[in-house]
Amino acid sequence: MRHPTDGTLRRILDEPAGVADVDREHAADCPVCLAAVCVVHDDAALAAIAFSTSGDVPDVDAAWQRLSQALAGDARGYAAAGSTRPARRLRSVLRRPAVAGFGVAALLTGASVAAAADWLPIFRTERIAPVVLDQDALVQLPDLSAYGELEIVEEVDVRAVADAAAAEEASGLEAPRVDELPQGVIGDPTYRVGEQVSAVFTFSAARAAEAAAEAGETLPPPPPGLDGGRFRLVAGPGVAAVWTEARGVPALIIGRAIAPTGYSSGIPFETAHDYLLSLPGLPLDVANQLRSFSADGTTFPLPLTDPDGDLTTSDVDVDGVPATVLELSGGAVSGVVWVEDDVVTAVAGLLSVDEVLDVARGLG
Amino acid sequence: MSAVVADQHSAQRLVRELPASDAVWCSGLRKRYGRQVAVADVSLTVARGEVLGLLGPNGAGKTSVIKMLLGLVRPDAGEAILLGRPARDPRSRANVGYLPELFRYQHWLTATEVLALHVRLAGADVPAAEQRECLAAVGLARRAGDRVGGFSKGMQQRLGLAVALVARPQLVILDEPTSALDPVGRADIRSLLLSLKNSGVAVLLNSHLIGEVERVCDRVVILDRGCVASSGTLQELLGQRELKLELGGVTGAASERLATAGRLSRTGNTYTVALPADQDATTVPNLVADLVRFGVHVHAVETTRISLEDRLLDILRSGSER
Repeated sequence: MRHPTDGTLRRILDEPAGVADVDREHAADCPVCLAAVCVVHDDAALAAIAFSTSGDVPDVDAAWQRLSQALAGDARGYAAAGSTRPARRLRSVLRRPAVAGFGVAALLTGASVAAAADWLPIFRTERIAPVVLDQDALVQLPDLSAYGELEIVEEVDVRAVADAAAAEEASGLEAPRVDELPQGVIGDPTYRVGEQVSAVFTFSAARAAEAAAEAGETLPPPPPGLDGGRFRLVAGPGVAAVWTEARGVPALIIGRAIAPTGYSSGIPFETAHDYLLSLPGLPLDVANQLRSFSADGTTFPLPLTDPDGDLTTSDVDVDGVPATVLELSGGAVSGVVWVEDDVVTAVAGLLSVDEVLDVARGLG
Repeated sequence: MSAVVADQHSAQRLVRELPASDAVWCSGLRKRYGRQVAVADVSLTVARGEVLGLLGPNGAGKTSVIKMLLGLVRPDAGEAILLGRPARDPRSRANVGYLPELFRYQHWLTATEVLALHVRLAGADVPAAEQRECLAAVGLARRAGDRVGGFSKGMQQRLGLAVALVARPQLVILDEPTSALDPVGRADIRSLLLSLKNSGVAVLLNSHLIGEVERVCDRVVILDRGCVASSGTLQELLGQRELKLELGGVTGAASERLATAGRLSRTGNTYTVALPADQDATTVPNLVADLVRFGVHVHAVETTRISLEDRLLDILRSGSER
């Protein structure tokens, strides 16, 4: 007998009444169909997580975030059913603007924020220098709390607002306006704003020593004044306009934020920078990349995961301002980021590089 | 969906432990005759042993739905499963009894012969004694040997019912089963339906006699212009109660208070509040006490249950307003 269709197997989970007895009997004893049921189940679980909402009105942006998080955290199930590639590809595409390890990497260069919890990292300073990290390296980055206390002073509060005017009022920033949308991007955007966030990180030599010991390493002696040294990290506010396509994935995102700033209490940045770079747990290649940044706190790293190794970056200019282009998945996803007058702007989407640059250069 | 499918073993258990297939399941049924859309989008289920009433005005698509379920009409879209088999498979109808809206039996045969013929057509093995019992159950015991040509329309409808029931069906589809019957005949059919329900036979009952549906059905699906306008158990559809008040000197504040109790309508001094199904015992006394406090003269207060007829009209009217 032929295998039941995919649609019929999906019904086993979401509408069993629509599965004829003959299909049930076949599926119960067919390894191919049972494997497919496993995949369907994982899909359903993922969709349920992604699209569960607390209110009556679905929040597509929030759903997308949950979906990308769920995909990032979910590697099981697909392999068992032999359909690894599509899931991995989607997962990696959605995960690209990842902010894992962001706090640590940012602190290392002296300019920082720990609170980039949303889809768009709120990054800072006068020039953006992307740091390409592979996923394993990100995982190995020590958590900030292993080196001291991180006290959140102002919590992350990213929320949807009604329109551009409301976004401008809430953020104090000019909401991005696009005269001509790229082909395939239609409709009005939804706006989200994030309030200013801030945190204070206090370095603890004892805590860092413990972390080093756990990793089987010895903590190098910290420079005088670093133990108990405090770093204040401030970011935001920010505003984002999101155009969503039919599948619910953002087709175009434009984000603007007051660039984050890091303040050091006492100890010179260069000293802290060199020391932090020498801490156990930091992969050598990442340390080398970070060393290449200027030590005056004006370069901000943009950590990105690149599990498939298909992220490319290049330098361009947007209306005379140096900018960085990120191109992913062979051009399926592109973004451009630049800093001007303490405001960082990012344009990204399921678009070509030329399309995001057109949008970036035509921003009102 | 809460089942956990970690591996194939769990998936196999999940498939094996699926609830038994329903008597009827259909999804997205659609049928157009020329330019006329008879059925636009109908999905419904009838559980095993359940009596489902199909209600709706003339032309709502009820009979077309039934004919699509039975393979008498090919749907333009959608699919159906009867007793676990796809409706396109003729074997799906082996255990289905059907009384059509328009019936005509061989007038030269006796009632017994008509029944025997249908037992043969169904490929069933039903002893003659059981066939006689079936005729008795529909009130034709004493006319078993008479030719159908001499039967009244009501008696022919009774015979049709016997035909639908004789091959021990697990699902019976009855299209207007009492249209030709007098009130006594209707009462007989109602008790027959209740006995079918008690013996676990699923029934899909198409009738525009609302009282009939209200008395015997577990659940009701209301069709309007080819779509499901509403569906639910009688409790869900009729759980609402209505509060009628004869009032004088109603101020704006009193009107607002009335509206907080439920949907408010007014004819002269009569105010009608549709109370929600989950209202508790204090809702009405509290409302009346508040009205008195507002200085309203309360002449009469009456709570009534909303009848299925009222509900049907309400649903159909609100549908035509859309």
